[in-house]
Amino acid sequence: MLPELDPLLHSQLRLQIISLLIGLDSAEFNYILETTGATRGNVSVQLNKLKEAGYIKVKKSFGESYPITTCSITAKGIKAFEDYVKAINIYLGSAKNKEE
Amino acid sequence: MEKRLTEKESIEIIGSMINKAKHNLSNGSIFYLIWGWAVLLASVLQFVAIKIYDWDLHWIFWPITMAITAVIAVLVGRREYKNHRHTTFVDNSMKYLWGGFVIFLFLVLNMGPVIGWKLTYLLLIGLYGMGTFISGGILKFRPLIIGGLLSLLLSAIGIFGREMINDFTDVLILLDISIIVSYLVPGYMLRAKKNEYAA
Repeated sequence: MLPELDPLLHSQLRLQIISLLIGLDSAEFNYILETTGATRGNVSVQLNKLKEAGYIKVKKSFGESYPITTCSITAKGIKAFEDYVKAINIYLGSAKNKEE
Repeated sequence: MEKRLTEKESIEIIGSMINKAKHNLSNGSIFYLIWGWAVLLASVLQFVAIKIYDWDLHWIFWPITMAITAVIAVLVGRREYKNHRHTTFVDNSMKYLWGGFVIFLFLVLNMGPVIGWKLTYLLLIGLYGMGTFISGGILKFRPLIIGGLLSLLLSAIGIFGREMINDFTDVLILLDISIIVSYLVPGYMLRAKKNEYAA
């Protein structure tokens, strides 16, 4: 039986965000915005969902004259991402087997 | 309504985002060059002050050069990282490595009057080598690793053969060679990589 894909990660923008954070120590909100190409509002909503699930940590600080929001992935987020990648690989493997 | 992803699309998204998060290898090349030239300058000035002018205050070039360089490095760092909106694990490792390096550098300098300046400088050559050796390993950049190893080797030769080194200026020559092989040459090679990417 195929494993269930984490619905929180099986969404374009949330998967983009988590895939970005998995390779970084931390990223500012504006960097996530630029890299994903999504709108400010959408990124903000998806970050909140990931934060509520405990997949990411969000830190607010103050820059030279503006507030800075910095995000980083948590251990729970890393585990969820690893499980998601494993599940995707199983799906891809099963699709390949069907083709053969 | 969110678009439903296929498994293939998921893998593509993961791959493309991980690629975007890669560390830019040549980001820190400027700091190897700034500090490399500063140490070389201070060392050459001290050499000239001893050999040619026989000046008692020959050490004075170090605090002056290092203080000016620290200000320059901070200003350059601010400019370089002004639009830096993310931190990679490499950035973080470098911060701890060079932070620890500076603390230990001051401890070694503090030992100068006790163990003698010849041995102190030889230890500093090893410390410089250790810094570039580890940073080369973190960046997976072979010229830094090799340069660091060569500096560690120069330090070992100097420490074990210190009884044969009669003149303090010989230690300065060892220091100059160490800085050229472990900071300046790898620094310019890193810079060349940056220009290669920019072209």
